[in-house]
Amino acid sequence: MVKDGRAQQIPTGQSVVSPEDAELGIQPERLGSQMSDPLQEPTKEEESQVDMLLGGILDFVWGDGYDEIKGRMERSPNNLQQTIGGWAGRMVNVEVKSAAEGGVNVSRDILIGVAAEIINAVAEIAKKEKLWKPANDKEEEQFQGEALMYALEKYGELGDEGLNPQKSMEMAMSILREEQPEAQMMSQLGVRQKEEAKPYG
Amino acid sequence: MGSIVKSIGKAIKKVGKFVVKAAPYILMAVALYAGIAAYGATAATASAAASGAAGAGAAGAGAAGAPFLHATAAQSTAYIASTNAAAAASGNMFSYANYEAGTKELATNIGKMSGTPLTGGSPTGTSIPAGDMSGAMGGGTAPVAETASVGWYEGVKNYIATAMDGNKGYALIAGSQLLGTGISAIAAAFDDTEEKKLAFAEKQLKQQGTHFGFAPGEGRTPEEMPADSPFWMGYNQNLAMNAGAPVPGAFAHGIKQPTTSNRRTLNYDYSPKGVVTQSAAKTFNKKPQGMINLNQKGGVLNG
Repeated sequence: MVKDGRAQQIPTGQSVVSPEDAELGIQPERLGSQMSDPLQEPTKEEESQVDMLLGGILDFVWGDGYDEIKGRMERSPNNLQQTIGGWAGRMVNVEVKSAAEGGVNVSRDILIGVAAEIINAVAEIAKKEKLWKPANDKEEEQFQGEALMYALEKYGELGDEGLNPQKSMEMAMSILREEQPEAQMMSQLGVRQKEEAKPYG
Repeated sequence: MGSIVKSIGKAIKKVGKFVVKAAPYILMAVALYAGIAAYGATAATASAAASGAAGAGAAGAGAAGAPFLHATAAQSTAYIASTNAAAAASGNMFSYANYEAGTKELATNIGKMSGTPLTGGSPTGTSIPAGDMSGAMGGGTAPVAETASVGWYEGVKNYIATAMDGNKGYALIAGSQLLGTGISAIAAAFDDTEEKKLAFAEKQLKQQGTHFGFAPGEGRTPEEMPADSPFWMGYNQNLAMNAGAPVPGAFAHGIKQPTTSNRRTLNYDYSPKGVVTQSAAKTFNKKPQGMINLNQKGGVLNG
């Protein structure tokens, strides 16, 4: 007789709570088939939205806007991270609103990754034009991290009716609980997969 | 044309070493900032949310006022769903003031946790024509206000460091497995030197060994725990017994401070009050009757 080779269905279980935790009122968490994933995988649409947003902005940064960006940084060389972050926040905000006017509802989950990409591009210009001289990789990262927070603040300052604080809290909660692998979390934040530079592509 | 411009830009202008991209932990720290600021923005509705969350089963540990402090993800999600999103989104949700409000709200639940306040201004902008990137950059030629010595990044970094620096509130959370290790991972990532990583790992290891009544983060090690600590009671170590029950503060052999190193020795050196009489060694003085010879048929015993 041929046995059914399928694995048994995983039964619903519960996490084990130590007596100490039980005294604190912590209850076991349901696992297995009832476990819910609070954050959804980024959809194909969201991935294409990242490209859509970045395409136009990076074209501007590396094309028509290059000299203007350089000029403005030269005129305001102090606290470049705040300047660059403010630009990134504005650019993303404008693009999101423009997309909304065109009938495209951009996912707000991906905006941190988009802004990070813009900041990286402008930081590249600042470094190339010798307006910013980071001592090492760590300083480069911190500079961009701080700029990203300014971008976030600027985005909120300009306002967006589509912003949902609940989504932001869910994202933070998911990070704190380490519910997702890092790569997946980055994808949800709108960070594109590593891509090779294509000079002639 | 757009993609061609971008490619040309990359080919011509991106020469030499590229600026490294922000590491994942930085993006996660920013997302954390956003979440805490959003939480701060909803603080006005927190009381209503707390009752809603409590109804969803988020009881205990005084954590009803923060989405990150519930025992399960489902409870946190229920809390978040109960907040007033519309009210929170009406202003600048991601302002530093909201972030501060969020940390203060957290502090009321888990102890003192606060970032370094930001001072200074932000660039003033002009109206933004949709799709006009030059306008979107804003700011004109006016100089940007200088930020004080400590920026937001430092603020969040300090916030995380504070959370990790033996903070009792955080220790309670960690011990209760409410937060998991997420914040630990982020904090560890900020310490990028090998020494700091090792120190962090050592600290984590020590914290793992300080349970049974002592919250991680208090700097206690098993050796520092009083002899009447529940930790030692777990080993039934040296406690005087009365009618089968340990007597608090009374020790069998005058041992006031057990240690993990002498615990094993003391146990073996313990002299029972009763007398143990050693039985005489017994030897088999009879020759065995036989042995099983497997070569014999039928398992016959070959005597």
